Amino acid sequence: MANFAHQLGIYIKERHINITDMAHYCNFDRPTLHKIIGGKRNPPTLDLVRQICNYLNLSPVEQEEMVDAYYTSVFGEDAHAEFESVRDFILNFGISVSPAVPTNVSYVMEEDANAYPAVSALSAPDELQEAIVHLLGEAANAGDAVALIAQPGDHAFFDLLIKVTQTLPVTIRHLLCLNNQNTDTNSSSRYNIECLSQALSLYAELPEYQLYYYYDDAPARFSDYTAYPCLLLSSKGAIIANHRFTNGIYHRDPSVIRLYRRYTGLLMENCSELFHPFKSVAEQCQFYSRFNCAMEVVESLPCLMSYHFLTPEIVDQVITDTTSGRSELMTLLDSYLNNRKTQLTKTHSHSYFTESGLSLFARTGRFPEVPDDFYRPLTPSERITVLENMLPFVKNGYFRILKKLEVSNDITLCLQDHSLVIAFKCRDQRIILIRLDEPRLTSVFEHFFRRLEDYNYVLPQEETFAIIEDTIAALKEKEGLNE
Amino acid sequence: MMSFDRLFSQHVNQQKTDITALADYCQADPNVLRKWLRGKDKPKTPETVRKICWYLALSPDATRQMLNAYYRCLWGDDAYDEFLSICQFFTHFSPGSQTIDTGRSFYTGTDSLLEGDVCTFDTPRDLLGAMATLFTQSDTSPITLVFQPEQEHLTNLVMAFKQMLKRPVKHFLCFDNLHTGDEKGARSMIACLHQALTFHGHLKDYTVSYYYGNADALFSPFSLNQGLILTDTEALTFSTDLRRGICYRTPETVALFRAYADHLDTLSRPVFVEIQNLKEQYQAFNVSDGNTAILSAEPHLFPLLSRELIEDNLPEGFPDRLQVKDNLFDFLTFVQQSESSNNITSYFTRKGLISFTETGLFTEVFSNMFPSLSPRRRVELLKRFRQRVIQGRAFLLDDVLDPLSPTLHLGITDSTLSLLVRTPEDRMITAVLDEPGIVNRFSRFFGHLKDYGLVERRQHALDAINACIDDLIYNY
Repeated sequence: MANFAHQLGIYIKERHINITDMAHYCNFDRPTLHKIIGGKRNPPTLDLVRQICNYLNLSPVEQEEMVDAYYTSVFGEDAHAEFESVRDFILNFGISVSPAVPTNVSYVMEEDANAYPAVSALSAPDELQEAIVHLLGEAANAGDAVALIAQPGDHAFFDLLIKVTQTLPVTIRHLLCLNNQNTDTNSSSRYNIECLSQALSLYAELPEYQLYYYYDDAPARFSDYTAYPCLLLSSKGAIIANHRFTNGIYHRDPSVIRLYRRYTGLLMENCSELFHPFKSVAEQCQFYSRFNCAMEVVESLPCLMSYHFLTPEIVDQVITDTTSGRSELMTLLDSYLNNRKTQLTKTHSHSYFTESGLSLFARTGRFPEVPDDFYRPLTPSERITVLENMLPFVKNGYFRILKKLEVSNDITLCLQDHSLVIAFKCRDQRIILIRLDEPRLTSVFEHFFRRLEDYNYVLPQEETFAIIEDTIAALKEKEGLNE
Repeated sequence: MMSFDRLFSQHVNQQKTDITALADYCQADPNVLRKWLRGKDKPKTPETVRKICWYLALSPDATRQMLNAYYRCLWGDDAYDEFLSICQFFTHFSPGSQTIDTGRSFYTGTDSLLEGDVCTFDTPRDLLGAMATLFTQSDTSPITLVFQPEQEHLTNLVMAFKQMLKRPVKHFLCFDNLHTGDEKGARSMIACLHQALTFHGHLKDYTVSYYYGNADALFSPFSLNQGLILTDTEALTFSTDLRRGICYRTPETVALFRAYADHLDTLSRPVFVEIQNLKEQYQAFNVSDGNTAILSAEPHLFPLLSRELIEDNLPEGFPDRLQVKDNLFDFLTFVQQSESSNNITSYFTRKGLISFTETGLFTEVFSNMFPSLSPRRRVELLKRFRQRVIQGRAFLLDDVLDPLSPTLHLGITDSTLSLLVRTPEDRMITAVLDEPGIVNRFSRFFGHLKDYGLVERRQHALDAINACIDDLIYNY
């Protein structure tokens, strides 16, 4: 990535810029501007960078490059790449959980167990695909789990896996290699975030998906330099494939399968589970109540459920009567919401949300992270109450509106005590809540949350307050509640 | 290893040394010396460390330990370890040093381990047995190897069956690019070089290519199918801990691995540039716009030969004697010209000097080309060589490097490393490497030879040569 001073120097030279005039335009000290051009100092603010860009008549693309170069100079290349990888993860999230499945394969299962000999070379992608379908189908019929060693990449294997397992449900145990090496072309955080994104998509789409991770130099292990690093293993077959899934070998020989089973067993001993799903609302409440520390949340809608902005009366009215264990849940929720309110004021937590999420709530009275059948939508007057209860906390800076970062309604990210909780909505509207404790990944998100303000992704408190006030006023006007 | 300050203070405390007296002896300020003892500063030169050792009456071994600790502290762990790894390359290098017996025991003498379309191996013994079977097949079609020197058993196996391995061998090595700046990277690359040279010396038709990668990750026991031995009819893939191996014998599966090996070939480049004749060999050693350093056990005497000496010593029955003689004359002219235009420094060992004095043989040419020189000729050459030492163009190495193999000659320029290796079968292998990682490491090594005290004082070198000349005159 280009260094800011270097890039600026090129533009100044190319466009024959007079530094004194530029300093005058930017209302900035000329010697300091010289230092910035010489790479001895970084520009103090993003505004100055924008002013310089304007003076240089840079195109939008060039401006973005300059801003990128500025952040790289200020935060360092790795930290900037890390930030960008999480930002892209959030921005592209909706796409990753709703994969297009272009693959069209025949699911007619060969009943004949001898369809494949002891060893078969799969020289072309379609042969490999057929063998994969055979192995998965056989495992599904036998109720067998399949061990999988494969990495995300520009191959269609995961799409195929999703499509096949939708008709032939089979348990997949995925052993994923997270990257522990930074190279010139690949930062480990970007690679790992891409792995996470792909794994979430598989978690959402596959009927039974268990994910385990281990660390190594993943791009090296799964590259052109390795012969057959990928494996699909059932009790009756083993397919090894190259990292692009263009060819492979299908083994039906029991001694080979035994060998690979031992290998996966050995690898599994060195793996840990990546996703820890929450199985109930109660479990979720217990988890959040455990910690007396700051919570950082990024979502489209402000975290209204969590902080007692919903009064006990509203909670009682909106939670549907058919919810199982309703009375126990009500008690639990009451204590939980009280805890959270105390936590909010004590621990300097932050909730970042989007303006469009706020307006969606104002329009629908729905909370995207809560299943629809769990509660009825809030009435306009209930919405007004909730938003009004929230206002004092907005004033204190706990709630902030994001700009330039359009978070999908399908995802909520919550970071607390080095654990990251991801709530996301699947294509079939199921809501999945999982917790990640893996330190490398969670630290990348921690840094992201910490840097939101530095990167100018957050509106000032006053503006956030004004937008919520406007939303309340609009709701009141619509309901004829204006005094 | 103990740090310099701790080692120093240990000796001082043990001997209850008077700091002021020691400082006075070393011509240092007592307060500064106390800082050395506390690890807050260190002596500026190794000479000062030697003075300290002398004052403390340390044994040669203890002195070496003090100097080692000092250099580690001066250069940092990585640079020091890199230096050590190259030192070890020199002192341990021998193209015939591999233990050859460990490999043979795995060979069953039959093909029983390779039957059917696919065979599996789950113990190192069976796997090595299968590999031995592949090595000993009478087939002469090429064989491809993908494995690293860390798989010592496999290296030993190749060496054990070198006589029976009639096939051309193509070997792929991964040069570690992840630990380029540290000791691990140095060790890994030097090990690759050592293995490549060893195989090059012993196998009749051996080519070796390299690619860059994270060798640890690629060849970890947790990698699935990384090691490979590939022939026209078999593909034996194995884990690097040799606990898992599968041999494929159907043409289709072998073709898949062949395609992989061909692809790897396109991603790799040769380790050695082959040299065809003596002139090219010498060119590789001497031609550089910058400095050239030559390191060998025996003194670098070849440029000092005269036409008369060649005429007298090239045996009458030598094949194509006249042509060889003319070539040698041309070559000598070329050598002497390049000597005068380039800054060439040579290093030799005491052992190599004595060996030449006693035998009169050159190790850098075929043994039948120059039979033993007469004592008079030896004296003549040594006297000329003495001039070089006086001019500061030849240096005697410290005894630490005495184990340097007489079969290895090494030349380093700014961008290449040239190696001349004589095999136990009296084959001469000349190779040139331009891989920057290795060249830079060796270059740094030569740069630090004097700093590290591995070069004897000029007077010591002259004394050693004079002693050899006297010995020759007295005895013969």
